[in-house]
Amino acid sequence: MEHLIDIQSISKQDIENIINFAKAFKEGKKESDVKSKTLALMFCENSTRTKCSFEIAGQKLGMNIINFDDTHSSLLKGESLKDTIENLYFIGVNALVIRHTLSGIINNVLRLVKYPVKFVNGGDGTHAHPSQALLDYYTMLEKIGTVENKKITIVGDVSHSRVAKSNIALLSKFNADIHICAPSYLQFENFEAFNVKYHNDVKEAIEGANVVMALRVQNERHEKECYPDSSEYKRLYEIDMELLKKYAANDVILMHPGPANRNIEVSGELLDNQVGKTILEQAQNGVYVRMAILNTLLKGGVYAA
Amino acid sequence: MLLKNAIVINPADNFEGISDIRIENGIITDFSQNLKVKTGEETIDLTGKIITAGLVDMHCHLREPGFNAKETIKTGIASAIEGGYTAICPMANTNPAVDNVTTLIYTKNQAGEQIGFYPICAVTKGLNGEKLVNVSELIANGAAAFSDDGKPVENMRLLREALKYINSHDKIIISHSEDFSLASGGDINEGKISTRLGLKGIPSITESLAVARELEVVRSINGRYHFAHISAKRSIELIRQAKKEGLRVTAETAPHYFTLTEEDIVDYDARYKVNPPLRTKEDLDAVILGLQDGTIDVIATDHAPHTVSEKQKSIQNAPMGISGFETSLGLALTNLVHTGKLSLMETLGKLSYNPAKILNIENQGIIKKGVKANLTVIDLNEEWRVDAKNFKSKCRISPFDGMKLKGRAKMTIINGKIYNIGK
Repeated sequence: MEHLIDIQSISKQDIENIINFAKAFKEGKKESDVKSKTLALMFCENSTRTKCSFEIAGQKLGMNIINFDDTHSSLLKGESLKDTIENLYFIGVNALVIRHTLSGIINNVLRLVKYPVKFVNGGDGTHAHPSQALLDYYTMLEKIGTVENKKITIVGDVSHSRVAKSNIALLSKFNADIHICAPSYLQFENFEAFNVKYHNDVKEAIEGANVVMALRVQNERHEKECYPDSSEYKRLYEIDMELLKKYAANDVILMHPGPANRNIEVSGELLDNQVGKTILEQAQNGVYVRMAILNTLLKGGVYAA
Repeated sequence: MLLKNAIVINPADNFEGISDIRIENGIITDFSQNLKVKTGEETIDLTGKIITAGLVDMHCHLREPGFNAKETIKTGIASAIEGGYTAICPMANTNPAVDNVTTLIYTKNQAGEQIGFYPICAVTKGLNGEKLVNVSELIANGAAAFSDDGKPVENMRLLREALKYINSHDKIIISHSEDFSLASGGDINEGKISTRLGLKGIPSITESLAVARELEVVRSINGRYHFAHISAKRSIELIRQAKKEGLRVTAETAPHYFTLTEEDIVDYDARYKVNPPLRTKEDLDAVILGLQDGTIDVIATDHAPHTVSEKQKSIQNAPMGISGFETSLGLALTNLVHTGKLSLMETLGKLSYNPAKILNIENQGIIKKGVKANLTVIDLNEEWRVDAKNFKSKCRISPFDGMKLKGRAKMTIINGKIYNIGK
């Protein structure tokens, strides 16, 4: 694995290796191989948990961490991203996590940068968020053992969701039964893009589901002309206790990449209940998964227990 | 000067055969088999080569005035000649726009006499869709046609009146068919690729809706109208039907629409970013069918240069456009002629005679005794590789870079002056 840009470009073995390393880090069975390497965090879009998670992962690995603050950066002075990255490499940066509003920004820059800095996609536009999909997968394995033939339903604003896309890419590799549920105005522009089952009706979508993953509905979007108010979404798609009990599998797990809009896509009651705790465990697992990603990119190797 | 033994293809009268051509003082003075060499006459043996009517590009962008870093009139002309073109029609979307006589004359002076230079003037002042230009004085100073290309004329009342008036002066409007409310800031074709990549899509209805609406305008006044850069299957169906019903419309496509699809876009590479966007295999097949059955009359380059650094920006921030002059003929020969999809005669007709006829350009697109010698010499079978860094155009970046093509121009002859290509 050269870089982590999206799930499509890494193999099943790469994924399994990251999961194994993450487990070892979580259980304290693995030491860092990348102490004193330098990690730069270039977050050009708001982020709380992904940024903190990578930062803590880097700290736990004993790495030096540079926060590349977008508001003061030379990017604002018009320097191209390629030039910035090549400079960072010569300053001593070994790995770079980029979060950006533009889809594919890393794919484009990777073609132009001539030096061997390691790239991690921390979420780009509406393209991919591979570390999130990996930590989601890790959490699913912890909770339900395997995803093969398990019904996994993703509900919410899929059209703008890089999390949904990376999850679909990953879960497809492991033969999960993937269902997507959204109102037409938040659905993917093109159904042929992914080989999954599409639903408008949330009851049908979560019927017998082993995993229900709610996505953040972006309120600001509902102010645009082609969308009804967010209350319209809540009325038909809010995941609450009653809905889960009545339709989903008994041992269903509820996931959310965060940050959740309480009482829009998920009821507050559910978030505060034991069922909602998985969402916090996702955040916790994220640190170990990101340790595994950084360690693997910079050191390589296959985990042997 | 005597050009000997070439296979002459003259789409104007469907002539194909080995013939000699004599050029004196820039004029074709003889055109038949086995011409005798006059004493002291320079002769060029073109055995095995093809001579066709000089290529005419009715749609290109030269960027001057205003955007000289992307291209100048001089570099644009050099690039066109390298591609085998003897006449070009630059669009009006410069800064200032070619919406006034002063700018029009400026561009003509910059061009000089090197190539047939037939500027397309703006339909509306400043290309802002609000007020018709002074049509007759622009025509008096050399306007070949009118277009707000780069933008549609969105006000249908203005378009209708403009078309009536421009047609009454025997000129046409060239339409950039795009509905802006549907295109709204997209980067590539709307479809499974845009969804997967997370890029904003431009649906094909963006084009076909504009075509449908404008056809109704044309119908209502029996106008004469030309559709630029047609890319979508549905647009072609609409134009085919309109032609069948006798509407006086013509249409063009560009080589990228019969060469590439959205599936070719890799790694968010903005070299592939063009407007209209590269579409699906189904659309590409429809473009080829449209070329075959005559729905599409013209292959234009839509040469739309930008600087290399602009085209290396992220696909969302990079400008739309492909450097077209130096690859158009090679792409047409490789993908249409050598694949058997279109005859050499049909292909060359769409590259020379048809555009000259649509724009009523004299001394171009035709091989005939008494007309100016505007000719292109082609090697149909030479295999070559596109090397963008050696383009004469300033836009030395191309989605076709590295592509292996078969067939290219070897000489461009403009008013009797020979430009050897690849030298």
